[in-house]
Formats: sequence, C-alpha cells, structure tokens
Amino acid sequence: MADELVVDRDLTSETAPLDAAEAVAPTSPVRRWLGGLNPVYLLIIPVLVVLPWATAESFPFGVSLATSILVFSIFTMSLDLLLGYAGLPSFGHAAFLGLGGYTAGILSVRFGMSNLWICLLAGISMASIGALVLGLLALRTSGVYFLMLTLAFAQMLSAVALKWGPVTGGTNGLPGVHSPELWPGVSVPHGIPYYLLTLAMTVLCFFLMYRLIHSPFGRALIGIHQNEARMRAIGYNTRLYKLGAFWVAGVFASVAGVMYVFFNQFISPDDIGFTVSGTAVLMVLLGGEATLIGPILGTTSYLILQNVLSSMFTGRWQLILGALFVLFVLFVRGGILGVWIRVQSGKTQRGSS
Amino acid sequence: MNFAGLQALKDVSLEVQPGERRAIIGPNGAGKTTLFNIISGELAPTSGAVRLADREVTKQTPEKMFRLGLARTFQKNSLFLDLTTQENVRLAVQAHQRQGHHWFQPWWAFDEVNQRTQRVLERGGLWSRRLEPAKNLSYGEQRQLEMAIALAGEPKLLLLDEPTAGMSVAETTSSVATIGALSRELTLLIIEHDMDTVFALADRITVLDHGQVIADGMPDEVRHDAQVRAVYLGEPA
Repeated sequence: MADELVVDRDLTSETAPLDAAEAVAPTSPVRRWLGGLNPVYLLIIPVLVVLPWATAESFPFGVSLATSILVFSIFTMSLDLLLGYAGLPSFGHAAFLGLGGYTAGILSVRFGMSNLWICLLAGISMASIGALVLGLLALRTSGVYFLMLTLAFAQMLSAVALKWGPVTGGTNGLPGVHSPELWPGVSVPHGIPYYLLTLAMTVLCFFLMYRLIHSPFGRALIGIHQNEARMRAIGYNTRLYKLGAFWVAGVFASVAGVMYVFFNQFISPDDIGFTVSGTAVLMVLLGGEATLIGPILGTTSYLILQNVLSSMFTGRWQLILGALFVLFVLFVRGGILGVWIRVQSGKTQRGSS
Repeated sequence: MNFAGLQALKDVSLEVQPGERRAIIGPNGAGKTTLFNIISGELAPTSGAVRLADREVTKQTPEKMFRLGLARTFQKNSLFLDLTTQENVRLAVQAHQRQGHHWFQPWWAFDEVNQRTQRVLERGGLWSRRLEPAKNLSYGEQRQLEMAIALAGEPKLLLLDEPTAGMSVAETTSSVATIGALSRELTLLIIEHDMDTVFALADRITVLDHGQVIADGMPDEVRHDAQVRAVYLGEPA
C-alpha cells in the first residue's frame, strides 16, 4: 500500500504539471502508444464530432465558435511548448501564426492555390525560416531580453503585413481566401465540413505534441526549464535544444495560422498583432501551463466567456474579462487544470487515509 | 590519463595520474571551487592550459567536457528539484547515451537508458526513493543524487566539490564508503574540508591557500608539513 501512495502523490502533487505521470511507464499498449495519455480522454472526440448536429438548433453559431476554439487550441498548445515546458516566455508567438496564415492566404488569393497540403507545407517552411532566424538571435539572451526580442520580431512582421500592400493587402487585410482543397477538385466547404477537418488537425497536432513532451527531447526541455546549468554539465547543448523547441513551436503555430486563414477566409495585421500573442499567453496560464490539456481548457473557456460576455455587455465585456483574469492569475495557481488536479489529489488523500 | 599544466589562479599547476584520488584542501576562499570551474569548463582561465588525457581542452564548454569524460558535483546541490529522483538520473543517462534528440518515441521505449538508470539508482542507494521528487529527499540523499547524476555518464574523471558537506555523521560514513567503493580506474578530484574524509580517501593531497599551491604530497607528508599546519590546520608551526 505504501508504494501505491507514493505513486499517487507523485502523479498528483502540486508540481504535477511539470512532472506529471513521468515516474512510472504506462503498462497498457494503447496508453504507451498515446504517449501516456489515458485513453478515456479519447471519448471527447466522438462527442466533438456530433456536437454541431446536437447544437444546430439551440446554438447556430456553435460550429463557428467551436472551429475557432480548435484553431486557437493548436496555437496555445504550441505556445505551451515554449512557455510551459522549455521555460521560454515568448510574447511574439502570433508572428508564427501570421507566417502560416499569410503564406496560405497569399497563395490562395494571389495565386489561386488553395490545396491544403501545399499551403501547409509552404506555411510550415516560412515559419521554420522565421523560427530559425528569431531563435538564433533571441536565444542568445534570456528573461526580459528574450521576451522583448520575440515581441519586436512579431511587431516587425505585423509591420511588413501592414506596409507590403500589393501582396498582403495592407491595412485592409487579405479578403477572399478560398475554401481549402484536400486534392484537386475536392474542397472542404465552410461550416460543419471545415469544423471536422479542423478537429482532425487539432487531434493530430495534440497527439504529436503529446508524444513530443514525453520523448527524450521533451524531457530535456523540462530539464532545461528546471536547471539549465546542470543540463549543460551533464552534456546537453542547451541552446540547440531550445532552438529545436522554438522551431517545433513555430511550426505548430503556423499550422494553426493556415487553419485560421481558411476558417476566417480573411487575415489582417490585427490577427498577428501583440493582442493575439498576449491573449495566447493568458489562455495558457488560465488553463494551466506545461500540461498541453490546460491550454485547450484555457482557450475554450476564454473564447466562450468572451462570446457570452460580449453579447451580454456590449462595450464593457473586456473590462469584465480583464478583471476576471487578474483575479484568476493572482489567486488560482496552476490554472483550471491545477485546480482540478488539487481537487483530485484531495480526494485521493481523503480516500486513502 | 595525463591532467597536467593547469595554470590558473596564481600559477597553480597540478598533474593528476589516471586512477589517482587527489584531494584539494585549503581554507575558504583559497580558490578550490574556482579551480574546479576552470577544469570543468564553467570558467575560462586568463592564461594557462588544461589538458585531459594529453588533449588540450582549455576553454571547452561544460557539455563538451562532460562528453570527454569529465563529470562533477556542485558544492551547492544542483538538481532538478521538481522532477523525480529517477528522472534526475535518467536525464543524465539519456545525454550520455546520446538519445536526447528523439522527439517521437516516449522515454520508456529506451530500454538501455532505463536499465542504466536503474543500475545507477541502485548503486547510489536511491532506488527505493526513485519516485520521490528530488526536493522531498533529505539533504544527505540529495548529495547522493548529486553524485549519482555525475556518475551516470560513466566519467573517467570525477570532480567532487565537498561531497560530505552538511551531512550527518552517519550520512558522511556511508558517503565515504560509496566514494571509496568507486572503480579504481576512475580518477577523482575531491574538494573537502573534513580531514577524516580526506585522509580516508586521498592518495595524494594538494593544499591551496590564497590561490597558490602551498603543499603537494602524500597524506602523511602533508599532515606533517609545517606551513600547512600553520595556515590550514590552524596549529602553530
């Protein structure tokens, strides 16, 4: 019994987000394949698949809201890799959303190329170049300087989007993005079909990132977050690892950008500005950093709350939302998932004593 | 292994033979830890050279030195406090076996890493505590973990910076036994204040004071050296 108790405490202690479920390798083959994820979580997928039909009458905007939640979940999960796992506070993550979004948008509007796979490939390539350039510069610094450099990079890209009118549409943005094609002649129309495509993409991204954070590379990022000097002393080239994290996070953010532009059928400099980067950080903290699931919860609750509040209090909703978040960040450590974990561990301790 | 020609601090020069166990002693501020930092690549010397097995390694980065077979412990524990004891060791083993770049296979799929992690934990007496976050370990256990991490990389040269500092008598005894039982092929450099530990472990002793070597010799020679007794052991000459 004593041994089991130790395991329980390890899995659900207050530090669980960083160390969660790491001590013991899962035994079930399904769970091993899922990177340690409890297969029970997969039940959410069929629920999300039927969601649009279930809510079609009661909540007609539901599909649109759900799609944007999924798209932004990819974005905030990718930010969590940097912020929560590697401990790199990026405040310019929207730059990568923009690189993906604008690349796909320009291909679709200016070149009539709306093939999803080609757009994804192009968006990912652009984001990779961006991540490499910014990573090599910003990773020479740390802390506030790192933060400022990421912020400056994003502002720079947003300025390019603003000034390069003939290509990006400037202030007016880039309207008229076509529906994406899966292969020539088969496009995915707006609404439920696109929602399902986004759902599939989000599940795929989550799966890849979840495997990544439980891989040797992901574990090394956590080690760097915890104690970088020690990681160097045991043989890690930590700058290379951080650059890798930067690249992966940029790639997933650009996937979110491509999915965003095909969903919104429009992109403008506002979509890649500081507000978006800042909101994403908030969503990650709200849900619980270094958990991947936390950012999904954070994104979901933020966007739903925003929707509800903006319809109830036109004009003042931002004030109310802001106040809520100040309270949350001040008093609720570990975000929504942190609360859930503490409730769970409270139950376990009561149950076992 | 030749580890010679180190010129740092004020003309400090020492040469350690392969398999030797050398203690570095001296009062606080004598420059012992600085010497370690230069050897392990944390600090670059203003002049002079560090050679490891006849290879010039001056100003190498710590991660490069680790791969060349040098490991160290820190005077103040330098652990991954929120991670489990097992994960602390596993990260070091993973680096040593060069598996850190895998990004898709989960960590438990790497049998060799996990088997070696288990061996290191067992040898360090930490296997039963493997699921405990490092911050929940006692101070003595944390010192043991510190050494287990260093040993995980199968080093040829191990620098121990005050391995028994702050330990209880029982913990010190068990630590000295653990260090004494290390392979004789491993070269040890030990900074230590506790004289019983020094005389129990060291083949040779180097005494530093104010950044200079004031004595260097077999334990008995050093024990009876008048200058050492005066400046370090605090006895009138």
